[in-house]
Amino acid sequence: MKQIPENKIKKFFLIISTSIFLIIPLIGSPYLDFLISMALVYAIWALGYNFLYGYTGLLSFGHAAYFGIGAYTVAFILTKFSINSFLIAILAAIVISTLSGILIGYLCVRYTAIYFALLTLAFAQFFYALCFRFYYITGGSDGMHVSTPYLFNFNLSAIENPIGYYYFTLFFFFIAVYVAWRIVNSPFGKILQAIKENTIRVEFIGVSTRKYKWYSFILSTMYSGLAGALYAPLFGHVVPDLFIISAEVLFATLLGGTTFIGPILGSIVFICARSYISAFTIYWPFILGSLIVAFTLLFPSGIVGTLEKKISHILKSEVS
Amino acid sequence: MLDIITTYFLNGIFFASILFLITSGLTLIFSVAGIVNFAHGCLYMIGAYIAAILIKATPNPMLLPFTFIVSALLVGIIGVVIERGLIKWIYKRPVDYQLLLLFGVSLILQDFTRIIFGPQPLSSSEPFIYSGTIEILGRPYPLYNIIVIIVSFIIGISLWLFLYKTKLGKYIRACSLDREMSSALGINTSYIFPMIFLIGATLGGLSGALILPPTVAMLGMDADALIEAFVVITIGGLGSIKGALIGSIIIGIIRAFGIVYIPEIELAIIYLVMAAVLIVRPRGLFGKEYRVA
Amino acid sequence: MILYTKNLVKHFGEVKALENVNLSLEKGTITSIVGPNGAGKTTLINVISGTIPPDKGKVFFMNKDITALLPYKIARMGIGRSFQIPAIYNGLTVLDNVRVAIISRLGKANKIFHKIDKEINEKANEILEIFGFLEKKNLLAQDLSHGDRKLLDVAIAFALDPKLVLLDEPTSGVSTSEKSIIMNTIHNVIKEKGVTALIVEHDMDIVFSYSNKIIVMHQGEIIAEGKPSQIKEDKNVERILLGVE
Repeated sequence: MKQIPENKIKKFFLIISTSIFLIIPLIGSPYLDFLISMALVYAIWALGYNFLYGYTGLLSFGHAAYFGIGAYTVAFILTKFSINSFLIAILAAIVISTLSGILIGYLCVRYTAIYFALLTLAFAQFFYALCFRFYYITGGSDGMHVSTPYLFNFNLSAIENPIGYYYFTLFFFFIAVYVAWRIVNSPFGKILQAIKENTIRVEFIGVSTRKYKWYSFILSTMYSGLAGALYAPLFGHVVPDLFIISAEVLFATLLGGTTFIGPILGSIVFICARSYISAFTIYWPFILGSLIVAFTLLFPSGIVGTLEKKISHILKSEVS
Repeated sequence: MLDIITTYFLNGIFFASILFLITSGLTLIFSVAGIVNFAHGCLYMIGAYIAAILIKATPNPMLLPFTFIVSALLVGIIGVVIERGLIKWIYKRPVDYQLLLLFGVSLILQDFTRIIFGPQPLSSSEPFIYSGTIEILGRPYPLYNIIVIIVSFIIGISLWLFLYKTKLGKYIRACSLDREMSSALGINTSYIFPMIFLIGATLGGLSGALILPPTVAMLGMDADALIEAFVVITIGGLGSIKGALIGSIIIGIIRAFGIVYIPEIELAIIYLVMAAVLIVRPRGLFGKEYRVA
Repeated sequence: MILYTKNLVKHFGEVKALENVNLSLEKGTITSIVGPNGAGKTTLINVISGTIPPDKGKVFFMNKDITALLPYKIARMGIGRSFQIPAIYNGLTVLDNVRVAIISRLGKANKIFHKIDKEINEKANEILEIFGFLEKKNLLAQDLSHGDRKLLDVAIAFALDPKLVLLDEPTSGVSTSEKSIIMNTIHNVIKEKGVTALIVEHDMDIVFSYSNKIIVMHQGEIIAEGKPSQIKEDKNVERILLGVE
């Protein structure tokens, strides 16, 4: 059997998937545009989350905090401050969520797994509570409506212009993926991977692991903020519950596996599954929880990871 | 003046009693089985809901103490079921898996609660009201709170006696010090672990049941309880019952006085205390686990 | 003197791991530390490398006080170490294991957008060649034999281009034939690069063949030190070492 070089397979896959993403709006309904836009939002979020979890080995239970901060910032800017430039709103969202990440991350990375996870959760809960406490600003449990964003003079309302919103999101998705790819394959990326494999060893080759864990944390919050910013006008509404959905990004990452494209694939499957399942049952959190349990017990490497293992198994046995 | 301060102080000890029950359950499970029971807050919440239903269903006020016991034991059974059904598969896996699994379990339990008990808060304040008040330094104080404090105290002492004075307790403590060694010595760990979950979950359920009469059972109380228990553990160290006691008292008192004097940032106080302790004493007061990265 | 310690003391509760240890190393020499288990050898390495702080006493490296500095700072100053249980990155390839150390040494850890450049790859391949890993460079570290894992651990230490290298039982658990390969490789690198080495060892044959100086420890104290020929004659040492063997 002739061996197809791995590089060619990867390039082929890349071209096909990019093409699919580009032509989706031309063949699908507005609902599909909405769905895939949401999937891309979650993919960006999961990509960032995976820096921290898949590459650096830090499990956070509170990443919804930065997603929520990004979403609320956009809501504020578009609705409350009536600045309808989407670009400005997104920029502000990224800045504020990253700042939060810098501060919170600084504290959290000092601690090992269990405390790290609990601390990140505590901070998310804290923001959640803040939303209710300052209900006169944030709208409390009713949340806030998100006004229409504009890109220069283009109306980017997700309802009136779903195709436009989709391409806008896709654009940021491509950038996010490209940047993530560069980061992961850089010397910095290797250091992160080494930290996950053997933190102590990394200290002994002269790297302050605390500092690099912090950097990784900051990156992940940047992505989370961007994701939240793109989410807000898509859904049209922001509610405090956004701060407590960390399980979703966690599961999307788990589902896909902690490789590079795992989180992307996992997000797409997750969003499609969620919309399908919630359409005919109100037991979504129950199902999500059960799925997390099932995946933890049975498929620790996620879909992509398990597939990769099976495929390389098959390839190896064919060659020999 | 002193009488008012005493009231607040007693409130603090009341909160502390509840917190102590939750946290000692969590600590036991961690010390012996090495599992951070992320679903513990849910057990507390389920305890409160079950108590709400059972209290309303109990015709005879004299039987009320039993409703608490039954609620607690039911939650204990849930704990054992989870342990035997799910947790036992991941004892040997790295910490991440345990956290993930229990996170999933907590989601399941949260929705399970919503499905079975409904989205509205439930209350059954009869035990609280029927107990009436007693006079302390000239002011009326709910007798129910005093009873809870005493019950918690008794449980604390019993726990101590059990762990330090009985043979089974010694086995359990041996397990907490060195799991592998203990099983090598022939201590039957497949009995010990479910038992610890039974005790720990029962304590969690009991605390939920006890907190119900003066308050309500509602969705979301699990997260608050988990975070508070976590703050207690941060102060007292994970794995130390003595630390759980001291931490509970500190947090209880802070909460009791905080609500009165600085209500605006009442919720923030807890987080501030936690942050302060983490910065100043990363290992807690009595912790056996070193957690600085 | 590239490294010296002054009256190092370290107690773990009742156990006296280090008791007034005074040690000095000359540049470019190979010094072995021997002694029965529990003599304090690994503790000494741990204190020098910053893993644990001493209760009392100081460590000086190139005339700077490095006592209780954080390990990563000490590593940056030019001290590399290997571990009794190989500290390598199991899920990464042999190439990456070495590359990570090179990245740190070249100060490129914070390069987020750049590719892994020629310089990194060249220096990594140099190390791989010296230690004989060129053919195995794409294997995952976890798939290596025990001897190779130990050697990789040592290679990582040398990848830092250190001035002083601390090796904790580099040949323990390794078959006799592999032992000489490992020790030869280490010895050659040390001599070529003029690195100073402090090696904890149990295998007395190796110790006598390769060391410039031998230090004998027992219950936290240095009870003898000197050239191999001197130590061989020392009856005291013989008694202590044989008594436990």
